[in-house]
Amino acid sequence: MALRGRGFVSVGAVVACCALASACSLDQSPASTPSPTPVAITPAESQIERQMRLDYEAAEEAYRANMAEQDRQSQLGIAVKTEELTSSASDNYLVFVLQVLRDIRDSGWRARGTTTIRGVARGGWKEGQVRLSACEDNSAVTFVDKDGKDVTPKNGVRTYVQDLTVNRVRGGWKVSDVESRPVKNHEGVPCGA
Amino acid sequence: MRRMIVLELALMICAISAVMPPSAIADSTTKRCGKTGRCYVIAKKEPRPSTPARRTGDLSPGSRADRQNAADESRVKDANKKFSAALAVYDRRLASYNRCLQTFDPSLNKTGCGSAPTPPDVPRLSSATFSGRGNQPTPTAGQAAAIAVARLQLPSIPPGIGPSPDIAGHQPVEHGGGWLPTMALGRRHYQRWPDFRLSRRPIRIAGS
Repeated sequence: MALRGRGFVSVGAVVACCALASACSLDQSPASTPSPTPVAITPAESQIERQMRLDYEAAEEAYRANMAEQDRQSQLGIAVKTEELTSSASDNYLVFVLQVLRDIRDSGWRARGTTTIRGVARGGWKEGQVRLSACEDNSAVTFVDKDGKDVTPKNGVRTYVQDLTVNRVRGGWKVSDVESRPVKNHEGVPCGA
Repeated sequence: MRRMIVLELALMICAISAVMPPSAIADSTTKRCGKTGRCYVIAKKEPRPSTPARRTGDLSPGSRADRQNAADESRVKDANKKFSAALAVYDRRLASYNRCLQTFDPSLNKTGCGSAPTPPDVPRLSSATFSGRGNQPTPTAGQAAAIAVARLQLPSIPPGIGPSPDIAGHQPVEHGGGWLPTMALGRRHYQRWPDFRLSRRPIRIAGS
């Protein structure tokens, strides 16, 4: 009996450790702040650390620029492969973005409001490729038709964790792919602020 | 006690895997959701192979012709090999026969040198079996010369003194298909006749 009690204590300790470990994961690091703010190079920062930091910042900047262009076009009800889109997205992600914009345009809708990026977490780095996890919240975005009638989809979740793959292409960074995870809210996810 | 340690380890592994962020690797069934709430499944683009016909075994007309050409070349090579081997054997026999003729002494050897060796058949590869331009087997100048020597009809008459009674005036003889390519090149072949005199005589194609 005493042994079993000790076992439960051990399990509890393990769970507590894991909880602590998750609390100390990437999303809590100062580098995962929503906006890419330049950080002074400290003597402790190695060459590779500096490169990683710059790559993450550039990748996040590309993602945010692309989202801003998506907001702009969806508000205008257009779907144009603009320089802003192509310079920040490629491959599957570009196809996906253009499909979303085309659907809005073809429905005769226009968006009101913009997508809120709750946070961007760093998911992995290798030479020329970065993984990001972005918390997108579209609950504030509404859609109106040509008559100004609210046609915002009521059913379905519009809050996502977007796992992004960002590649360096000819010196610049482009979001090349995304995997979406609809979530009720962003609590407990790395990118959640 | 040991069971508890194992249980703790298993729990720890489960807990760590639970808090690990999911992989962002997307496959062809990846779900991508936009601001309208609609989700899309976009087929992943695969890079095109550089040489699809050769790698996938596509039976395009071009690749079929290439394979046929390769098969034809292989047949020509095989035929050339066989002919070269047969020609080498014939050359040896002919040299032996010529030596016999040169050193023949009727007082010592009454049996003679026997009949001349038979030249090997020139490989005949029908052009109908060869597809593609330029694939027909064409003998080289050296091969043509060898064929000419092989087809030389040596007289089966026993050696004697004086000019051969079969050869009247050493006149060139045109026969059927004409002269061999060596003649076209302006070369002359010297032939030793059984009467030991060097005769300057064009070569004729036997049986063509």
